[in-house]
Amino acid sequence: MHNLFSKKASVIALVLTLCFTLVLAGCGSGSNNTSGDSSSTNSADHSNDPANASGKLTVWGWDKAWFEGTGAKFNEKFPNVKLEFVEVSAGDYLKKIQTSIAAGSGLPDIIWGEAAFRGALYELNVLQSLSEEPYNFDTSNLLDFELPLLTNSKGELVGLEQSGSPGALAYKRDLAKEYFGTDDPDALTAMFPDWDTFIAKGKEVYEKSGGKTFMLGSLMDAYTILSNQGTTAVVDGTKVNTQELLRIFTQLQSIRDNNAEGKLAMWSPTWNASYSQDNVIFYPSANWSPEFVIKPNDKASNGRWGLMVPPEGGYPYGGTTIGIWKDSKNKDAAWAYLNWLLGTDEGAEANFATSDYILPLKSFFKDTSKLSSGADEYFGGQDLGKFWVEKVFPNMKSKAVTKYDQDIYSSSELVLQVMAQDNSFDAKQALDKWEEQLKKNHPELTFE
Amino acid sequence: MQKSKGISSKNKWPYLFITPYFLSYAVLSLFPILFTLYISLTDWDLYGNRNFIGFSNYTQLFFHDAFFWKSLLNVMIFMAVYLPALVLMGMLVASLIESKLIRRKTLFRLSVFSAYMTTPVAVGIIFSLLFDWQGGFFNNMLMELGIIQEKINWLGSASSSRWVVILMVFWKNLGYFVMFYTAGMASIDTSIYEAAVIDGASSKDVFTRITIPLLKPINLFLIITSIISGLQLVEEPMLLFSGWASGSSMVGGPDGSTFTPIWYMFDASFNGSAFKYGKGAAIAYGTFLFIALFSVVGMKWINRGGDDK
Repeated sequence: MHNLFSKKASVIALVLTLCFTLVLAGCGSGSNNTSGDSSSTNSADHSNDPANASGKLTVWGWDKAWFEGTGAKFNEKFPNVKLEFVEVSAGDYLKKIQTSIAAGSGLPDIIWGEAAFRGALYELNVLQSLSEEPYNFDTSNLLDFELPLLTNSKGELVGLEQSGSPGALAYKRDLAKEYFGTDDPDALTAMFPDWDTFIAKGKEVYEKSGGKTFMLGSLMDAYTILSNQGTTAVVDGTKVNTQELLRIFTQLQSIRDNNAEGKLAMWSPTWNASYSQDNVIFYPSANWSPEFVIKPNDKASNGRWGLMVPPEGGYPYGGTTIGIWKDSKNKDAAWAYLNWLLGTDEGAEANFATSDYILPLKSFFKDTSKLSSGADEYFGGQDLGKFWVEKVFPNMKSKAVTKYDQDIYSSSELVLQVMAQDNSFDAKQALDKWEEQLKKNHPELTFE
Repeated sequence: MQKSKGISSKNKWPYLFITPYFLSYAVLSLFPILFTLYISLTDWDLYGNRNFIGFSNYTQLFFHDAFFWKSLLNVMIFMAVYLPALVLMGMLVASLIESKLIRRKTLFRLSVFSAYMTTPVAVGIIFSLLFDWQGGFFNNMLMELGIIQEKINWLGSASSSRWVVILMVFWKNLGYFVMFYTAGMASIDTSIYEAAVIDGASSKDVFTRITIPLLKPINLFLIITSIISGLQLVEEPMLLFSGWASGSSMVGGPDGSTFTPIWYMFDASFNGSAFKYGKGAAIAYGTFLFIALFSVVGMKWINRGGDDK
């Protein structure tokens, strides 16, 4: 009997021990091994010369061509820093970051934040402040519009811009000539000093074309520009500036009422197809759009496209913040990488050479002649590099990013879909619906 | 024979052999289930909160959250339409395939079933393309046929987008139902049919008096599992409205008409920028309560005769 009992007890004890070991192994990994993916081999030289930095840096990102191109140039200068790239798509990025935080496992040494979600990323408290010792990044060297895009709600600089992403309007030259009498970008910019003029012209175009041609593809196209222009953020702390949003919605309503948008869902196959058709004249365009959006969607044309400054000026469209994980074991090497790549003229040149990315550094902008990209046949001989640097960057403004940005965008998308199809749905109703949507997961917001 | 006294040297082997399963169950299922319960009692989010708040998440959810109730109502509406349709059409198609009229049965079985094998992502894309407003195949077809004069924004209004979701679920699951019914029908002893025919029963009588009653266990299984998966519906509507740009999605569809509880859980915890894990866990448990409730009600209703299990 005694023998039986002890056998039984030993089996139970074995089972329980295994259970506990497994459970503890499952959830305990984060507490003592916070270095996670990053290697802890950093033997960072504590001398002040960053060129001696060494270690292995783990980077999560999606733009591999750029990473490898600039990384090779970086390694010429810093041969002791090894770079390891883990490809994570921009769409999954924040989910991967948040599950790693929740599970207590480590993050990469270098973290990327795309425009859509960087506001939320900043508030997760995982990025190293670069305003502090020993980094003390001199923000006065950044173009003025950049600072709000790289700063968290505490006012700390938490990363540097991978590429200044100026936004403008792309247009089809043949349609511009037909409806406005000119296809010259400067003349068109002068023709449309503000949105009201733009919308009024949209009504004419719609009537003249017999309801076949529209200024813009969708309300979201217009929203992309309107919501990024100016400096008034929609949310400040937890206060929502409903007047600012009502102003935007009212303008969008006017665009709809005057038939200046083609009711194509932005980024949908029909919207993409419209690039090679005659139903839409203008599209929001960033400096990455020619390569990734316009040319792929309109392969056959040549000289059909132009870029112009939109009514009421340039706006930030996209962009990626790159920062350092605040618990990284390789901060010295990470800083050497980040600072050289995105904070110096040398890095800026490597960026431009690799992917035509333009770093928003004042020192780099002193001589803009090197940023010319030459006459582009596809764009009717326009020099795109020169266009961005001379026409758009100088008058760009930006608003502070917030952790709500992603939800603001998706709430707007939802109400604008209703607005597009229901002509009785006005800006005020849109605002009410929008508030309701945003409050769903953010009850702390107050609407003023 | 001596009565079993727990684990003895004789019967320890079965216990040892099933231990790995229960170990993995404890770690991969039981622990997460209990941990989720714990999370649902906290205000855990990724912005630094992690306090025990008792049942606040639940009271908020059940008494103050219109979105939760609306999402539940949506899935009930979906089920109320597609479940009866699936049962009826499933039986009809299955009996057609099993009947003497059809020769190449395997081909038909496979073609009906193939929709079920399609990945939800593809289904979402197919339906967004079909029902796109300006360029969708469906609108173009109706225009060409002269049935409509102006294109209809199927995915833009509350009622039509609900119908599209219902259609998606119906189309996807019909093959699954047909598969079960054909298997069920094949297992019914042919002598019963023969006896009925000799006794002069019409084919309608054979179907309603023999086939349907004998398919009851299959119906029970299909309906209960459909209620469970129906309340957990998320991929179909989410992919339909996931938007074309990466990362964005029109959460809930127009006017929240295709919002579902699990989508709400995903939205509150992972998708947007709220990262409210406490709330998400409470939604998961809230939904679980309803799943349990409806499964029991469904089972009782089907067994209301009380004659067999």
